Parts: sequence; C-alpha cells; structure tokens
Amino acid sequence: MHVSFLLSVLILQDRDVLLEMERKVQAILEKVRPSVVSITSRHEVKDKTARKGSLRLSGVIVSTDGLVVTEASGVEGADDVSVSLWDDRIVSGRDLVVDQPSGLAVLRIEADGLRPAELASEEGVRSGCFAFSIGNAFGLRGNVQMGLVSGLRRSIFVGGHVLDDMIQMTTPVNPGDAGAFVANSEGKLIGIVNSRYSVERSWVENLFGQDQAGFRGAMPESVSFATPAGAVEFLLRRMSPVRKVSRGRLGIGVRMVEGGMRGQLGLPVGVGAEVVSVEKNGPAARAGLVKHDILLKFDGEPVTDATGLRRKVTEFMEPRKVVLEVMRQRNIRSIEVIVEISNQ
Amino acid sequence: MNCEELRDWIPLYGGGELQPNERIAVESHIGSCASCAREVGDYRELRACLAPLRDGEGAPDLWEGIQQELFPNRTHPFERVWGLARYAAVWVAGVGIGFAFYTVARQAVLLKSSVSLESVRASDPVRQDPGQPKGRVVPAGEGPGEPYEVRPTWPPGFRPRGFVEGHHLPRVERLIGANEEVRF
Amino acid sequence: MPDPEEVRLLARCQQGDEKAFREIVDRYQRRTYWIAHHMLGNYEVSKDISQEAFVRVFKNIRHFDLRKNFYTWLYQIVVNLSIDYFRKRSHHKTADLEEVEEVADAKPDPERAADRTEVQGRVQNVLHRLPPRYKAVLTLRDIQGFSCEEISEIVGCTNATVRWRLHRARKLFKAMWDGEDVEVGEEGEEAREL
Repeated sequence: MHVSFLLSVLILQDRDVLLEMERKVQAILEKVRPSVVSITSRHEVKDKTARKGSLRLSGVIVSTDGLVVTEASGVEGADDVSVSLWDDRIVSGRDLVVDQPSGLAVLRIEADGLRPAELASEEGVRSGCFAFSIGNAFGLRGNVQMGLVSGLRRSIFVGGHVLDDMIQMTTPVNPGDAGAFVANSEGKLIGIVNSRYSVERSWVENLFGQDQAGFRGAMPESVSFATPAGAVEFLLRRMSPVRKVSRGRLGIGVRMVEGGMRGQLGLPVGVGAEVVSVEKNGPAARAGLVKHDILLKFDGEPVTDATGLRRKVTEFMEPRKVVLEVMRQRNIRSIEVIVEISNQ
Repeated sequence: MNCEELRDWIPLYGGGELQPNERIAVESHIGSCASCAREVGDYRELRACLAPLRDGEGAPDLWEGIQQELFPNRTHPFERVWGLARYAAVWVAGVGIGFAFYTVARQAVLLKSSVSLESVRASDPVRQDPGQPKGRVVPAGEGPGEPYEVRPTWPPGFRPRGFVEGHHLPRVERLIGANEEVRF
Repeated sequence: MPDPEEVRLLARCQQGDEKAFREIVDRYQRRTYWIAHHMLGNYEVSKDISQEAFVRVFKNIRHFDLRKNFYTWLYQIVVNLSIDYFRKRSHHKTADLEEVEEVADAKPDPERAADRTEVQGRVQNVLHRLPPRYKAVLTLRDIQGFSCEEISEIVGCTNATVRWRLHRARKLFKAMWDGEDVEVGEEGEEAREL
C-alpha cells in the first residue's frame, strides 16, 4: 500500500478508504504479531537486603533457528532472561550478545514453529513512511501504535552513550516497548524500538515521603527512536561464535560539508566530509587527522555521503591500510590510516 | 486437564487452599506446562512479597486514645501520686519554713506560714497533646486539612523494604544537534 | 481453644476492669493496627479505626461468649469498620497513586533504584486499588496468615466464599502488580486486560 494509492482511492471512494486502511493495518498485525516476543530479564542486585529486580520489554524473532533481537540496556548484565512467545510458550534466552554502538542485543531461544520477521530493504525507508510499532507496553501483549518516520540518521544520547544512525518516528512508545517491532506498511521490519524523548526527570517526593520520578518542564510529544533494520542485519552478520560483534572503525566523527562552505572551498558538488571529532589515540588520531580536515576521498573513492562512509568502514573484516585524500587549510594531501577492527 | 480448566485453581495452589484432588490435578499439569508452571511461580513470589508485611515496626500505641474514650476524667495514677507528693512536700516545706521563722523570729510576733495551700491543686489535669486524635473515627474530608481521599501514609519511622521492577524503555537524555555528526 | 489466662483477663474486662483491658489492648494492638493499615493505607485513619475497634470491644464485652476466640471477634470488628469506612466515603476509588515502579532509565541502576522503589510501598499501592472485600481476604490470608476457617469467621461468610474471593483477589493483585491496566468496578465485575 502506498500513500499515493491511498490518495487516489480517497478521491474516488471516500467512505471506503477507512475500511481499506483498517484491513491493511490488520493484515500487518497478523503478519507481524507472531514475531514479537515478551522478554523478562532478571537482575540479582547483591546487597545486604538481597533485593531483586526484573525488567520487562519486547523483542523480535529474526531467524527460524531462534535468534531474537531486542534493545541492549534492558538485558545487559541480566542473570537470566526468559522469553514469552506469542502463543504463551515461555522459553529461556541464552547466549546473550550485547552490541552497544547499535543499542541492540541478540539472544537465542529453543523453540519450534518460530515466525521470524522479514527485514525491509533500507532504500524504502524514508521520512513520511508509516511506522507501526508492535510491542508489549506495560505488559500489554501485541500493543500496536501507528506513526510516521520523521527522520533518519538521528543521533541521540541515551543511557550514557551516543547512538547514531537512529530512525526518528512519531510512533508513540511506552515502557515495555523497548525492543519492539517497527513495521512499515508491508509488515516488514524497518527498526527495533530503542527509546523515546521525554521530559527531564527529576526526583520528587511522593506521598510516602520517598523519592519518585516526577516531571519538570515541557513534555515532548511523539518523538521516539528505533535502531534501523540495517543495524540488525549487520549485527547478525558480524556476530561471531564467541558472542562478540566486530566492526571496522577509525575513531572519527564527520559531517558532510554544507553547500555554502563547499562553494568557498571550491569542492566538487556533493563531495567532502568535515571532521568534527577525533577520538584520542584512535586510528584517525594516530594517522594525524585533526578537526576541520575535510575528507575528499576514501580508499580511492570520493566521499559523498557520511553514512555511506561509515558503512564502508564498519564493514571492514580485517585491519587494513587505507589512503585518504584530505583537504587541510585549502591544501590537499594524502594521509594513510589503518582501519582497526574492534570487538565489542 | 488443560490450562483453561485449571485457571481458577492456580492462584490457590501455592497458599494450600486447594482440596487434595485439585492440588494433584494442578501438580500433574504443571509438570508438562511451562506457562502454568511459571504462573504458579509468580503467585508464589507474590505471596513471598506479602508475608513479611505481617508485623511491621512502627505500630502506634493505641491505649491513650482508647482510655480517653472509655475512662475519661480519671487522673493518671502517677499524676495523682505526684499531686499528693507535691501537696505533702508543700506541707513539709511549709512546716519547715514556719519552724525556721519561728526559731529565727522567736521574739517576733509573726508565725504565719508564707505558703498558701490554695495555689497548689491536688489534681492537675493530664497534659493534653493537641496532636492526639480522640478515639473516634474521623471520616475523610471532615478532619482539618484532610484531603477528600484517603492519602497513603506510613507510621512515623517505618522503613519499608525493597524490590525493583519495571517495564523498560530507555529515555533519551539529549538530542544531538542538527549537524548530524556520524561516528565510526 | 481460647487461652485460659486470656479468658480470665476477659472476664475481668466484663467487670469493667480497666487494667485488664489495657493488657488485652497491649496484646492485640500491633496486629490490629497492621490489619487496619493494610486495608486503609493511611496511618491516622488506621490508628483511629483500630482504637474505635477496641472501644467497641470493651463496650460490648459483656455480651461476648468467653468460650469463643476473642481475636476472631476483634478482627471482625476491625475488618468491618475498615470496609464501612470505604462505603461511607463518597468516592469509591482511592487516591490515584503513581505506580512506584520506575519508568526505567537505560540501565537499571541498583544503587539509585534501591531507595526509590520499595516493595512495601508497591504492595500498598496495589492493595489500595483492590475492592475492600477482596482486600480483606488477601490481607488476612497472605499477610496475616489466618486460616480459611478463621477468615470465614472474621469476615462472616462461608468457606467457599472465602476461597472464591481469595482467588479473585490474588488474580487481581497479580494483574495490577504486573502493571496491567485493570478496570476495577464493583466487586465481582472487573474487566480484565490481556
């Protein structure tokens, strides 16, 4: 179902549009629901009073042999993880792999008759696309929400880390939805629910005289984030048997040069990524790259897209020397850098 | 028996309220059904949370309020003794002082005691603590400054114990600006 | 079987002996208070109701059959007073309490969370939302540990009713505890979410 199709139907047959849309949404739900699981992760907090804790979130089955993807912080450091399937079977989650840069975690379950999610191709995902989330908000199984993709490649600071390349959507998500299935209008996976932007929390005194979460300031509406399906696919591909995720890296942060500046520097159209940050002692730092350097070519190829460059680098399987063409103070020079492979 | 049929019995299993045949039915079912077994475990956990609440510290002493209601206008026995003691002490002091005056002012005409007994009452009323409610139920909304609904409050000095649980969704602390820096 | 020493105390109470009654109050006040508290949630009200219960006991002690268990009668009064308290108020729903559970941050920080979320606070939050009659059986059974028979005496219904209420109460409690949204109507009629 495409938006344009909807519009034409709307023009021709006004009153049936809603019914049609309803049917399509229901079809998506039917397709997607069996792939959504409920996850309970238990943490033993070891102190004098021996308190225990458990978190409940969502997850998505991504392979028939039992791989389940969810949001990382919900299961990180758990003593045990149990997964409840759509038909109420409960199984144990094992072999937990946590990948912080993407905010994802993968675990394995043993069960038959699993219905894995179908991953959508990345090109199809654009601002304005539908984004349905199917998760377990507040323990409500298979809870569905509807929204639109607001933007791509957003960077957020959550849980003490920066996450890049996140999908921003208007789809409301609630506690319990971390790890939920984000589906497009074809019922394919475009992302995994990660977080939402909400008001600054402060501790206020509740009626018991205890500190409790309270709110301060303006309340954001409908600003939620999901890890794109591309990251899921990368994770599954790069996950090693020893449960580490390897990715290539340079220790650098770049952003495409703005139009006006490009003209000033005489750069060709669409080319040039400015270095915004350099990680101390990282590969880029050791190679001598500094802030404000402009990357023109990477490994012989023009740099036209920062995210594309990032993909290229992360896909490296082994450390390798790469030649960069860099503009510094209007002078062009070649710099050699060794792409490092890191294991999370 | 299947899950549906046993649904009503499962909450009663852990507390031992089932008849023997019912208990056996549940036991044989949970041997093969993970989800019902899990539910039984959940109920057991909940009971484990409730049981320690039985005798908390901080329960107030109720006697004073009860006494006000049932046995009013009676002086506290201690107060009565104290009143008597004061009375007696005053007498002793009075006699002592009188004697002193007498011995000192032997030649003088004055032999009057300087303490007047009327200034000491034998039964001073018990000191009332204004914060003490009487032994009478005050419906919400009628007490001074009482909210219209029951506000949960603990006895002063009561310290509850802990358990952490929640539905998970990380909160974005900060949106990183429009410059869309890409890191790798 | 009533304790003979207690029977002697009660007999003296029947004669109006203040000291004897004080002993009785000392023995039972703590449990009485907590039963009231778990029903009502509020310190002042629980204290008032507990005191009222003892006052009523003393006023009616002459009619009490010394062969019966005293505590059953006392707790009967406490539970009834508590239930009546709810009925008298124009609002059946109690204060809408914020769930004490956290809207979790990225990582469940044990140090921070420990002081903030308390089981007793949480239990009270959930108990508070149960209808009075369910709350009564749940409190008496799972908190105070009375037998179903004792409960049927205290609450004044059959054993079967106690069992039924207990199973509804535990189910409801569990549903609320699990964070499910439960619409609580009149007793016996709650609409339950998944």
